[in-house]
Amino acid sequence: MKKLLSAIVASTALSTAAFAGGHSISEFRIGILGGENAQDRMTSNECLREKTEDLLGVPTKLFAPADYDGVIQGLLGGTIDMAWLGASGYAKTFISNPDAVEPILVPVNMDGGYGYYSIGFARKDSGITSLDDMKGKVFGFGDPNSTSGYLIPSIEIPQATGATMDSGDYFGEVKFTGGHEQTIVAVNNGDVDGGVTWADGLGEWEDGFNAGALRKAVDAGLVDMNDMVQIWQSKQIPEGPIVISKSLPEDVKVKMTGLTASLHSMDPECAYGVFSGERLGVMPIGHEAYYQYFRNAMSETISTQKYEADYFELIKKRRTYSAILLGVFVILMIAGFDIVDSRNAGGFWAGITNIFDFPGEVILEASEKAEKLPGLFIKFFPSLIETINIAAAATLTASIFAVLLSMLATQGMAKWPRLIPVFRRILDIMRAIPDFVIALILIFILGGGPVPAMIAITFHTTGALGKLFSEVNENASLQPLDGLSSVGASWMQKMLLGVVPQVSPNYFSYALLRFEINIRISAILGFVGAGGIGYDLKNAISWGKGRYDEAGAIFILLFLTIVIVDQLSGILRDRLTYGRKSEGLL
Amino acid sequence: MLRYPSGKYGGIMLKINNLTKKFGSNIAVNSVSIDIEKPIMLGIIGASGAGKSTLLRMINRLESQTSGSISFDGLSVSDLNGAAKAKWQSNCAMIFQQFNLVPRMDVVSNVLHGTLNKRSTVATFFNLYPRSDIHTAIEILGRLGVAEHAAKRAEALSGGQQQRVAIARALMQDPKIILADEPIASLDPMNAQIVMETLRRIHDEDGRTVIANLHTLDTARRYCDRVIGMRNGNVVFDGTPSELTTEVARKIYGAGSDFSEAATSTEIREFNLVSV
Ligand SMILES: Nc1ncnc2c1ncn2[C@@H]1O[C@H](COP(=O)(O)OP(=O)(O)OP(=O)(O)O)[C@@H](O)[C@H]1O
Ligand SMILES: [Mg+2]
Repeated sequence: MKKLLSAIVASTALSTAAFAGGHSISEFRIGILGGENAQDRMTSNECLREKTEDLLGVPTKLFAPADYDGVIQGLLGGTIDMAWLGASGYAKTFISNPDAVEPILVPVNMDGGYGYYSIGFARKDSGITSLDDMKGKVFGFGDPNSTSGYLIPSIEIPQATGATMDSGDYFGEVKFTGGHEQTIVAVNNGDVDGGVTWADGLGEWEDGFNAGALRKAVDAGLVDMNDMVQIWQSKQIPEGPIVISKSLPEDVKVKMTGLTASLHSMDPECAYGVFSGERLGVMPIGHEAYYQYFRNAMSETISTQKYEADYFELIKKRRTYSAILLGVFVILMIAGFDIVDSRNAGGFWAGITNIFDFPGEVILEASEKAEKLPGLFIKFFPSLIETINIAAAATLTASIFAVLLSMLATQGMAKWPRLIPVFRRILDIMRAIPDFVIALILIFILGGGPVPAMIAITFHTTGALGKLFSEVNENASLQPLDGLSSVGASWMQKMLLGVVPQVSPNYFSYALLRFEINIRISAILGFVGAGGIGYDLKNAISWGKGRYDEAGAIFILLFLTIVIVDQLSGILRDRLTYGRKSEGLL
Repeated sequence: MLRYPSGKYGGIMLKINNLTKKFGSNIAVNSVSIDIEKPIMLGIIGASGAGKSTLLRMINRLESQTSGSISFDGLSVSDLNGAAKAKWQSNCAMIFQQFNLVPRMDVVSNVLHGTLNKRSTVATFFNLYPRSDIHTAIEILGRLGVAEHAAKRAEALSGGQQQRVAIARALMQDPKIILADEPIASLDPMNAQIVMETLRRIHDEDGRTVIANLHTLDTARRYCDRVIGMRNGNVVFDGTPSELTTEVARKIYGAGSDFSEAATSTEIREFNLVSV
């Protein structure tokens, strides 16, 4: 951030030799942050360079890179040993490499604090006295890595104006001047209408405060503060630390800390130049002081890197498992198909070529006798109704049984919790026996007709729906049941009032799905003597050529029925599951 | 360091004009007009049934108005349909009292749901998100202080953490405006404070407008720049927190002189957990 740097240098053969163990250094390099022109920065710090060279006994150099990042990169890259950084510059250095530098001292203001401010200012004769007057005018930031010259104002000014810092939004234009001194000069010349720089906020405006870039500029004769007005001030920003490279030999660190700390008492004039104005002195400071201030920024960056790596690791693992699973699945498919194919007596591949012959003949015959089709539809319609009837009656009866059984089989709802396993097994068994098998047995005992078909379908459907319903029940909230229990409701009442309203849309949707399936099953059962349209179809097909038009008509009827029921139940189910939410019951 | 261009969402203009919503003969929101000229944190208070949620749901277009209009930055929000409506919803994030996360999915996936509007169904099915989105999601979680839970299932988090994940999902949408319907109503006072401070930070640091339905007066006073009081569908107060006196609160809540503020208080005094 702002300011200059302070720093010192060097080490020496002397120190190396004198101190045990450590490596020696052959030169010491002090970095100076941008802000003023390079020559002025070098001049202000020349006294420090000399003292360092004397103390460490090695050649000492000053570096004044054009921008803040130059110093940060120098510290990170080992080409600069010491520098005075701003709080955000330190944070940036720390985040890039926590082991590069350590804070040693911080300049203390005349009031004993170590905070400073970003100050917005303009020329008095421009008539601008506040941010409001800056609307549509040209605004100048300093260096993009500067806390007071960019970071803090870029956050706090938009809060004050309610607009962005984009050119043309609130300000007519927003520029980067490159540094504090440039900003001051630019405002003074009228190149920008207002700008931001740093000051300790103490002392007189006329002096450019006790310390800061304005004070420096006044001392250098660049501006007369009487020509300037303050238009804005940030919240307090902690002064940045003087940092020293962690890799230096211990003795060098100790010496440089001592030199810098005593600079103020040894040579006030030198300290004035190095610390950018009047200071009470310096005080020791550690990482914690800034860690606090930049806690959010730093902990975010450092810790998210770790969590991100962990998360990608997790994803990789998950993907690997999915891939293995998919592989196993594919192998099973291939193996299974292979076995089926080799056991298929007639040879699947031989039969497949004839697969289109039969429908071909049916279609051919049906289309030749197309004019008879409407009549055939009417003829078979009663059988179709019978088939649908069997399915509907069976589904309805099965639903009622299924509701009861599923409740009895659900934890938290069951009337007799100990019997839950019993009811579950009953459902399992009912579901396990195919409707086709039950129908065959019943037809054998009772003779053909719709009744055996109905019983068979009801039996299996009760098992299937019971299982689905009990899953729905498990997802229902049990809180209403406690509420109803607390007022003394009976089990039946609790189920009807507490469970059914929650689950009925899902029940209904599953029952509809089952109804579709049952229509198909009911038609197929006709083949084995259960009556309905399946029976007619069997007759037509086994008659062979000549009655294929009838077979065609029945296929069309069945197909249409299934399509229609499927569509209707699809629409109904959508309504039930989504419709409610869009009506906004929330 | 994650730096959000401050004020990027500046210069907004939300204009609500004579907005009315009827449910049958019940008038939930009655000719409400609100103008917001720059990003602020707005609190809406009022008794249960005052119409607060309905108002927010209309702004997000979860609900359509019976009459009146809403416009944002010149966009006529109340007339949008289809894709334009979905786009608006992606710009106008919503946070719910019950967090509404997918409990069985990990935290990062939940946050990534904020990008669904831009994702194809196939990518969604295979849970494939660009690396850069995952990076952003974790950064946002870090910003809200919950990055360490990134890989956990959402259901394993505390209420306050879940609500911050929900806010992260909202931020993932990069919305201009965030609507929060009683974001702290199911949280204990400490978590409530963390969540409110998080919302405030989002406003302060990003310049996003935050509109929050709140149940407690002191929360509204403490975190909002402006407060609107609703009663029976009408706006009966619109002013700064300092104008929100006990007298005004009685009017909003329709309470008698026995009304005490403490009744609505959840504040933890002398307590500052999250630095801003
Ligand atoms: N989907 C809906 N159908 C019918 N009436 C509704 C619907 N949603 C809300 N209402 C009615 O509109 C009115 C306002 O409800 P709203 O939920 O907006 O109130 P609120 O201020 O958010 O209350 P709370 O503080 O309890 O959340 C109430 O009278 C409510 O009953
Ligand atoms: Mg509500």
